[in-house]
Amino acid sequence: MLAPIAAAIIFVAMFVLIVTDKIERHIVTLGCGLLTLVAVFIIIRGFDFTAIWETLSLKSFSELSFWWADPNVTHEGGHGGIDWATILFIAGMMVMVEGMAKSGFFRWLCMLLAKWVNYKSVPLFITFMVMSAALAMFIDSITVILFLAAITIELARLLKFNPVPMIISEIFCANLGGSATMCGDPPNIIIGSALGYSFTDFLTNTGLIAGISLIAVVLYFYLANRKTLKEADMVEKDLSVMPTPASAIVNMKDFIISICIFLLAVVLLVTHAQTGLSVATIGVGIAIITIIAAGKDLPHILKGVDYKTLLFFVGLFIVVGGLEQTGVLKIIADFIASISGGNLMIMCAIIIWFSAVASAFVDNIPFAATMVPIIMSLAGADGTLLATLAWSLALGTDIGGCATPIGASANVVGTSVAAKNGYMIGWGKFCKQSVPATIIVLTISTLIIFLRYC
Amino acid sequence: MAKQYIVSIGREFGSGGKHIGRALAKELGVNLYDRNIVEKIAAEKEVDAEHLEKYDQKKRRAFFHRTVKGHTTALEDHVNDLQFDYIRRLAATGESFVIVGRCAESVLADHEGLISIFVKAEREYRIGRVMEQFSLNRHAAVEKMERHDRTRREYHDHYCDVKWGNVKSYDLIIDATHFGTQGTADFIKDYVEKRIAAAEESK
Repeated sequence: MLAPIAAAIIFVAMFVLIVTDKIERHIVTLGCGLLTLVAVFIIIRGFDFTAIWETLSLKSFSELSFWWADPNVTHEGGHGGIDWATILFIAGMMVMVEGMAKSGFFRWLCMLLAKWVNYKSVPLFITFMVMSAALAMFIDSITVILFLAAITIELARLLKFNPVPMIISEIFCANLGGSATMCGDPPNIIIGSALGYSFTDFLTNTGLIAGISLIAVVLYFYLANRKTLKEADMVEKDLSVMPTPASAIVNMKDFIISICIFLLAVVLLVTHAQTGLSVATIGVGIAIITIIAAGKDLPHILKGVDYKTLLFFVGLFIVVGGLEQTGVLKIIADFIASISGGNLMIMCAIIIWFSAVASAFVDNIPFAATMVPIIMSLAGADGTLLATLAWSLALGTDIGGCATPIGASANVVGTSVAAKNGYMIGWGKFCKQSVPATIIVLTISTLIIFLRYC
Repeated sequence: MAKQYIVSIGREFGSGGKHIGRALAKELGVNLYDRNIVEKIAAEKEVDAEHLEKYDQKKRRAFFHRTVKGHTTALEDHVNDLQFDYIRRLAATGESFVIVGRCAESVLADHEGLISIFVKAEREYRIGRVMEQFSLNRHAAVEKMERHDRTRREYHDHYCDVKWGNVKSYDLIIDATHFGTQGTADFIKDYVEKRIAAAEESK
């Protein structure tokens, strides 16, 4: 009984320390992970090396299915403990994105679209929202917003409009776009990798819901900001001072290479159910190609990789592994099963809305990592039920994170970029726009899940 | 000491530090920077100063903020960083000036021409000034004074390595009770001139 209590205390302490934001979160998760290994598995359970080995999950590297899975055979997904496939994939994407950023790709794309809509505020507003969602389907939302918010502010200064509504809507759409695919948002990578789902599985389930929601969200943000947008169009502008898309390209050779690598990553992800390549292989492969193509820029690219986030994942998976090994997550799953009375609709509604509320206030990555073993336990051997719960969890965590400035990483980066430029987006300003949009999308998601799966 | 000098003034609420800074800047014939820094930043960024003032000289809240890859949602941090950056840029121009608050003694700690002052005063003197300046009764004045001092200490100690009002943090700590606003400003002016002269002699 002592082991589950200790594992739960360490988990709660980790969450509290992450929320207080006083210690860097990778140090928090690594410290709590180490404490789980020592206190729970070694001291309390008396050198339980089997549990340690399963939690560290190092064996997965030597398994063929970790790198390649026969497309003709049904796979059940990864191990418990550290999800190395997720970590390798995220690392690979980080390397690729660094290469793309360096070449000026994101700036070029933004300037091209801005010019394409003739710098008119309403089309610009809508185009940037759709672009944010589309990019976030394949690239991490932090990078998407980092560039989009900076360019939005630059355009806002030149075109004399208030960039705040546009930044908030871009952040929302980046999170929404991320929910559409397996690689769009870390919770989806965790869910997909742990449960063995493909890119297409996500696209045809959460992707469909995200697509329908995007239409509703674009309409909502337009209606909520139409007055500001109309005012912006009435201001006289000097379009001759606008930077040209070509001026964004730092180096044409690097630019073409980065586009090719990005397209290759998209193709590999879209077809990975057919090719059998795992997300770990795709991540490693894309990273190797980017590194080879980088040449003398390699140190710059590697320096830009966010190792802290990767370490954060390692520590997080160990702590969650502690909960799993000691049976805490099974207790939570049993509790959810008992309050829903086995009713699938209630179960889905609980998972979507509880995940959403929790993800609005705490980091959705540890939340998703914790919930995956819970939904596995809830579903038992029922694969259809597991899929329904997985889509509910993905949408709840991804969309719930949109509601507040701290709900998702993109929100933090977007509001921070705005603040560095003098545009302060506090909780009130952010939530006023994002909470109604979050409720709209969660309602759409719940209804579609009820109608399609229950 | 270089030709350029910068006088930073930290102060207890109600001690008259802001007015002393103003009088000192006038006597020395240099610019005074205090809350107007926020206005200057707002003008630079083409934003409304009101939005920045809300977070001026405040410590970030204990909860409900988050940091990702060096980016934070704590707007207090951003406004303070913008101010610290502005102060450093100002110092880099070579201009001599007086600056009130904003952790200037810590931000410019490595600046050769920095003279850091802390103005304190006896409790009754401060209460009297707060009652008069804000037309408050004694109870309200004490509450306001204690609240502002607490906010200033928390803000300062959060963003600086040294402690607010600590003897090790300043070149000169002066009690304004005895000389009043103008008298204290004159005293500091005398001190500043002697420091400049001493620095020139040592060259």
